[in-house]
Amino acid sequence: MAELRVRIGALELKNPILSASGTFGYGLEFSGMMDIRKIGAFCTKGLSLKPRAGNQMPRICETPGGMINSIGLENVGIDAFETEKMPAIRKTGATVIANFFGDTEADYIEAARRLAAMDGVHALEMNVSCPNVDKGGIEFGGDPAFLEKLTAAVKKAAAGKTLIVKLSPNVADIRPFASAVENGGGDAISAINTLKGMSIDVKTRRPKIKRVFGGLSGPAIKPVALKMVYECVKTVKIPVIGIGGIASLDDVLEFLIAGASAVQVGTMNFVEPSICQRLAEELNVYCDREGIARVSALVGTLRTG
Amino acid sequence: MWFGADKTMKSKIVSSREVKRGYFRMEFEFSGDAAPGQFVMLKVAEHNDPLLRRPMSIAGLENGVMSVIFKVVGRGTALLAEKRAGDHIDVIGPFGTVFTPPQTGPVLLVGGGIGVAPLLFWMKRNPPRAAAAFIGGATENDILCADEFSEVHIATENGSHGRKGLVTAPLVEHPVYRDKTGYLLACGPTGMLKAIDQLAAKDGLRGELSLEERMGCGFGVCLGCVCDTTGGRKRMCVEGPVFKTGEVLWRN
Repeated sequence: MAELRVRIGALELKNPILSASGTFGYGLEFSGMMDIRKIGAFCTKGLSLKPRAGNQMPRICETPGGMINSIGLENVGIDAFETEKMPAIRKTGATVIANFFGDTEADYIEAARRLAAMDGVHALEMNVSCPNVDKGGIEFGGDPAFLEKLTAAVKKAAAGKTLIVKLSPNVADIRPFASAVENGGGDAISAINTLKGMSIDVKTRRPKIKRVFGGLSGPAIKPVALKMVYECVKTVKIPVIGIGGIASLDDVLEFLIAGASAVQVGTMNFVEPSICQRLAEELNVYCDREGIARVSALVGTLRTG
Repeated sequence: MWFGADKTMKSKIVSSREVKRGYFRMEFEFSGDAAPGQFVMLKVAEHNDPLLRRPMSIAGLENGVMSVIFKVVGRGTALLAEKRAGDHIDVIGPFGTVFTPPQTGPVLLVGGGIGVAPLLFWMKRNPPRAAAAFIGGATENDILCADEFSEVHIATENGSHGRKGLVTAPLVEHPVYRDKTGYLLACGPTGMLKAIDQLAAKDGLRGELSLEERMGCGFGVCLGCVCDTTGGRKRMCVEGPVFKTGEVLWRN
């Protein structure tokens, strides 16, 4: 049995395979399909102070090797999360990373304060990068100076809990944003959120997504994600969690070799609900077979030149 | 939720045949139970393109063999249609709500196209309850499994089989509909379900509608298949696909 534990800020994870926000509900939906205690952590659906109904249908469409979504941050709100979801989540024994967002800086701070104080929440992941809402996305994640300020304020509100900031790939250069998170005192970066994308039904000449475009995810985006994660790793010293199209053990290894300390599996949870558990098991077998005593020894071992 | 005995999700296909041009009925081994109205999610490709599973209403489950009916509409269903007896298919489920008509009284089944699938399953489990079935489609080729129902009324939009027009025409003329004792179970395209819902409200009948929608996951996490109802926004895969008449707030 290899040592799979990894550390992200103050948070120790039993292995580096996490499930990504927006693809894992509130964790409870996977009951009976996988053992949530066998994965490093799960990231909740993005939470806001007030519940949100999300966007109009159609919200998803399939694309080659992937899909586009425009859900619009639908969620039950932090109050209902605490009273209706959290008691059941605590019973599962899962490691919980609460993903959250706000419409204003004050919302972000208050959401972070509430979630950090909540029994059973182990860490926070701040979403500053949703492509599918009019507010709450680009104005927070689109300006490095503001992102640094927001990160600092939220880190203070998070009262010692590990704060991960999830970055958007929909920028010309991700590196200033990675630096902003580090300079603002963020404990880790997760990257990438979905890439903006679009698809058209040629018969009706209508967009396949009601809001015309949405966020592209799935195996199709992995090379883009890997490159951006590599850029983040080269820019900052804090841990980077790699996200984007992970569907196999080799995909996990690619992100680790590129320098990610852990990974999140997203869209593939829809296709194979037990994939995170499977990848954690396969990673262990791989390390044993290759004589790798600690999975962290793989991180950032890319050979260049 | 069901996984195969070997912890994979592979089921052996027992048979697959083209029942009408472009329409397939596939049977595969399934060791769990399921109830009429529920659906399963089938993986269409070995690898990740096409990526997402396809939701399929369960058309029958007997002696460990489940059947589904599908129409070839794109690349995913075309790949499904290529599968043969002896091949394996990756199945997860069953998911979703079930038909729950009252314990007694006649039931009227209304199906459009592949929407007959859950009605067939319900009829097989409750043979004496189905007073009549009403099956509609664009043409004769779109009328499926009609010979498996005892009393059946058919309507096609081009008149190539049964009555010319919509399936609601023979429905509203049926005595069990007219005397308002019939309970409706319907599955088919949104337009048909909306028409039935409005008729039921006008004529004072009750029933249940099984909605068809594209789904990302099938178990309530992608939030890609929501609809608005009198009880708020619902996920069609978890709080549906079966809704009561009068419950769905139709989009247009």
